[in-house]
Amino acid sequence: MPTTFDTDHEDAERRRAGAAGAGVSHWFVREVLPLEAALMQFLRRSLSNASDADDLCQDVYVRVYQAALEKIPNPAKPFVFTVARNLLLNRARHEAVVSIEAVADLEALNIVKDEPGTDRWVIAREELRRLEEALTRLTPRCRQAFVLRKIEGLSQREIAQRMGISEKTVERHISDGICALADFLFGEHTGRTR
Amino acid sequence: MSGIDEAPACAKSVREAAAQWIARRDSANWSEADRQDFDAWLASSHAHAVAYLRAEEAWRRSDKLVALRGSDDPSEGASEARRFRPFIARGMIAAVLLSVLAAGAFGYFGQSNMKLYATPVGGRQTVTLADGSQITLNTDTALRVDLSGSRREVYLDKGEAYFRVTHDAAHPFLVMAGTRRITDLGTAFSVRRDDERLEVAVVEGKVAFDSGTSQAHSMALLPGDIAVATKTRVTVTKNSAQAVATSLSWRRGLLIFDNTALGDAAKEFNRYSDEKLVVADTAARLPVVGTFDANDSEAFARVARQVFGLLVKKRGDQIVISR
Repeated sequence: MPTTFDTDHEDAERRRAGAAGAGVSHWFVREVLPLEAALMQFLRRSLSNASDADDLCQDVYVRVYQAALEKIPNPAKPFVFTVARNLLLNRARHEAVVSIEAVADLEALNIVKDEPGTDRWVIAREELRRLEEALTRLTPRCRQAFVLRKIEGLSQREIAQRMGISEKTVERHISDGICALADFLFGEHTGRTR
Repeated sequence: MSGIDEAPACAKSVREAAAQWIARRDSANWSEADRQDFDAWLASSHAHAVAYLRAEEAWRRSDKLVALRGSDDPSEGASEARRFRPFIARGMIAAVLLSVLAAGAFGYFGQSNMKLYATPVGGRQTVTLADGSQITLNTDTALRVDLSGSRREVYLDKGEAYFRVTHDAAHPFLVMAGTRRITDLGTAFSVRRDDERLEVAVVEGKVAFDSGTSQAHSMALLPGDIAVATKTRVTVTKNSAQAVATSLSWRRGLLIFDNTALGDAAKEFNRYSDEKLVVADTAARLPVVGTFDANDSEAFARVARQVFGLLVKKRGDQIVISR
């Protein structure tokens, strides 16, 4: 008998996939998210307060996504960094906190050139290593819940029983795990979720 | 909330909310009301949409952690880092086994000074010959090499290979594929053999191509030329260096599609895996754009589901994609 992947989510996925936004979503995941590490590096270097980089990165994403709904920018990389630069300059005008040198130096940083392949996730083994490293950054209980869910394939309810905690707590561990993994996988944040 | 987003006050809270939705959806307590709330949340702001895409991608990618499943109890957590090593080691053992197999076959062909090189489905290997020339074998490829005579000869029995030939005018370098013959005139090129079809792509230098059909004689191929020979005819197209490089992206383990029909893209993936993608009905004509890991047909199936809203079903060792 045939089995269907993700039976629960499939309907919702397909509904969402119906609109033109689906192409943009796929493009965003494939072309923009892999730039996050370079983008964060650029933002941290350019901001006097590096902890603002997360907010600015999210802001860049929103603007890039909005623009892509009109027309997908190709190639993605120069567009993303141009948006980042404009946001930084805007901020500089208002708050005078941006290192203008760093912004002006964008081309010199050699990050506006589109080099296919270099920033894409291509090697499964390398990715597994990174995921593995990301796991070590979770708190022990969070890691245990995540490991039981993703490696052992237990349901959240089974994890709750196994760990002797409530399902709500398992859900929170999973949610914390997703946040930390996303930061690590895309932004290569260090020393943040410990 | 208006459709136009203002700068979100705090990335952290939006990203946490996105992760909470995914964790909730993954739980047993996900209700129809939750689903409606989630859809409303998602639609209310582009900030929510991008945070969701990012968190969802991390959640999806973490599925790969299943490869770490080992014999000891992984819920102990601390041992994860160690368990990954055997995973790599197994890959190395496979590579070593393959060279042993090649060496064994060498014994068999030893009489005629032939060396056999072969890769399994999903494999890829680069070998350096005694003359310094390099050959990269793609998935499911077998070729024999004979450097002992006045001509350096390679017999491509099946599959696809990329050649970077060390020039030696006194010893021409020939690639035979069935009745067809490619003579290198100092160059880098690839040859792909699928039953009756043969494709030759030239990256650098110049090659002479003898298609073996009765009417055709040897033709010169230059950089950017891609020659496709079928049983009855030969077609040569001129391509940009970029296009030729794209057709050779398999050397980096990548499949790059640019408006490739979904059915054709699936066929490409099927060369790399024993688990076969089958694209049913009119879905086969949908155009695909993207870069994929050649060994990750599941990622491809996901794209079919998410981007085109197609049905993806697993039947035995087949993944069936349909409308």
